[in-house]
Amino acid sequence: VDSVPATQPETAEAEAALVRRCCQGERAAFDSLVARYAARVYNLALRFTGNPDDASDAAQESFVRAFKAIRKFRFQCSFATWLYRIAVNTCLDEVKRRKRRPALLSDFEFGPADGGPPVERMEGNPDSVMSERLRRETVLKAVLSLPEVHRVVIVLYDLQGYSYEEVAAILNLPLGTVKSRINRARLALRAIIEPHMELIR
Amino acid sequence: VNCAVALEQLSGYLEGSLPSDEAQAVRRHLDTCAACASAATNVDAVVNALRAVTAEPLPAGFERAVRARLGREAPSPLRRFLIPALAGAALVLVSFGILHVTRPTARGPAFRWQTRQTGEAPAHLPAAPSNPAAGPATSTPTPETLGRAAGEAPEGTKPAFTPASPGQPAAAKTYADKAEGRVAQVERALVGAPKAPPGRDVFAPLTEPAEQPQKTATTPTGQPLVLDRATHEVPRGPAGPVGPAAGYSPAISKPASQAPIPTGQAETSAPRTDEAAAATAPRAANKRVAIIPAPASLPPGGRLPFPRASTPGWLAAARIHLAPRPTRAGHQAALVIDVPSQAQQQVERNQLQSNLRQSIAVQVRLWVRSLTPPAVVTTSNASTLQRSANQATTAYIPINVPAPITTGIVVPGPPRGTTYELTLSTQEGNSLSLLLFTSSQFNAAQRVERLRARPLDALSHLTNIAGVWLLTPTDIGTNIVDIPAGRPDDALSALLAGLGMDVHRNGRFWTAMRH
Repeated sequence: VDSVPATQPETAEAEAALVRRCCQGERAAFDSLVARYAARVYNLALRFTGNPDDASDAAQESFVRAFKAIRKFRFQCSFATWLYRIAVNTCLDEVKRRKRRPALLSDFEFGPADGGPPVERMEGNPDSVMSERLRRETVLKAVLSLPEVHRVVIVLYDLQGYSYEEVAAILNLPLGTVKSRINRARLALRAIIEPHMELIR
Repeated sequence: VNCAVALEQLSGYLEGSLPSDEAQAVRRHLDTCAACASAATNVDAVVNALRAVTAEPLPAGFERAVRARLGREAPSPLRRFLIPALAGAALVLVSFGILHVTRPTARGPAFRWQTRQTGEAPAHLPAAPSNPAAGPATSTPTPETLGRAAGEAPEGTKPAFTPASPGQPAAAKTYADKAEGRVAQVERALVGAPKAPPGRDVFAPLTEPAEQPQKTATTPTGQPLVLDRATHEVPRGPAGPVGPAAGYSPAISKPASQAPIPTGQAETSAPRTDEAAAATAPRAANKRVAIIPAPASLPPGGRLPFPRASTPGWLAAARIHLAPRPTRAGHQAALVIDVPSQAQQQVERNQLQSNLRQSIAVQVRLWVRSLTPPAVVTTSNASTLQRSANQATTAYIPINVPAPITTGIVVPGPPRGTTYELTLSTQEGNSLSLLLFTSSQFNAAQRVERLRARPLDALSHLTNIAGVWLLTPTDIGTNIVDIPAGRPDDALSALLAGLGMDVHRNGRFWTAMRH
């Protein structure tokens, strides 16, 4: 299974050097890796958990786990693949943890989990802004209602934009399995959204 | 190609990754099957909507938070190198000591195991006494002793010095402990005691106390409280009174210089150790803050005296999550405080006690969440609110949203001069809501009725945990502030400023405190 190309080839070597420095206990090198991948890991967690706070926690936990385990990294895949795999597992753990936890007040339905862009970034016609927000909220909410096995492939492939091969590498699954899962996940998503299809067209 | 096959290949078909013959077969099927054609259209729309979702920016301070967590997880370089070095030195010293005392001399015996292992006594050793009692240690090897493992003494004899005796590892361990303590001393000398940076968020995670005695929460009956980390539940004990006095006692006592607060907690509060007092009081004095104890009990519906400005050193701090969401004309920004379950409160109170030994920060475990108007628009009126407040199953008093969000015009914040009020009410499960709403939607009578209807037990629980006084309805009524135009963040800031708190933003969090 191919690895996720973390960076351009010329920078891949530099990244490998960073990882090696991390293995020797150099914190600054790991900080560089955090800076490089923080946004992607956070967005992965955000799309998977649907909650900025949970996503932030999960993303932080992913980096902590990676830091603890980096000496076990064997360079058999790219660091990005390895890190995203950790992030996916962390998000799955977070989802399980939330299922076990008794519902707190904040878990009740107070509106969409993702509040959309801040006010100061809203420009243009308010109606179009609102329509775009509804479209976005509808589709993201539907993603969150998918089973984890489908949600993870949709998040990685359709929301994060990884290729089939990259998704297969992250999830350590055969390519054909990933393709069929993505297809089924999309069909499931279509079934969820179908009553509100006018919102996303 | 039938429907099942067509749907199975739909993604590949839409992406154009199917071989041409398979793609043509799917297309022919879609031309003849309206259901599959509709599915293909919808899947395409869904995929386009997914692809249109843009990435969110990182929360402010994310990388700093990661670094902070990594700093806690990883041992410091000093410790990482010093401990092995000192451990090695300890090993060398212990080995040296062993070699020193076991060096064969004319005055002392050699190791027993040396002779047993080799099966023959060194030539330079004195002859072993035939009677074990007459001399220590050495013995002439016998067929019985030859087969024994190293360090294994023959029955009935006790070697004078045996490296494998239990005393040696214990001694080494003691030395290692001392070395560990020495490392800590060296670290302290080199890097100094950890100091909070100026302006630090009082809710920044505190370093775990290394040598704090483990506190154990107990139930009102004295049984240890064991928290199931998975469920945050504890085994249910005998039903106690629902109220602040049940098993709760503030951990913090008021400094002597503070004005007396009428509480009845002296008899019920957990005794505070002198050590904890010594650790907390000087720091509190330095920061000119005081931690005012919460009352031991409050009757349902009772009033909590609010710390006035004349109360010196009152400090309250709240960690407030505020999502960057817009407010709209006529919409309400609602804030909700989550009060954890009773078990969590106990555990967190213990954490609070531990943390207070190291920091003056009063960690009010409040999570205030900014809310967008609910997607389902509800019409607000008094009956709706009253019914919600009284329903046992209602976990949240709904926010009324007069303007539907689908048709409302987006306004970046409420109009200037909009008056907000802060209301506290309790809910089922000792939850506490802090709602922020426009006064035009509630008249005074409704507000009074609502406040009277709800007991303040949750609030008193809260103050018990925090060890501070919080807001009370009386003060809410007198602290109506004008909220300038802006987002809920601004409204909250103005609101808390009106209550005499300094509000600071720290990343995604707000810290409000009164000095």
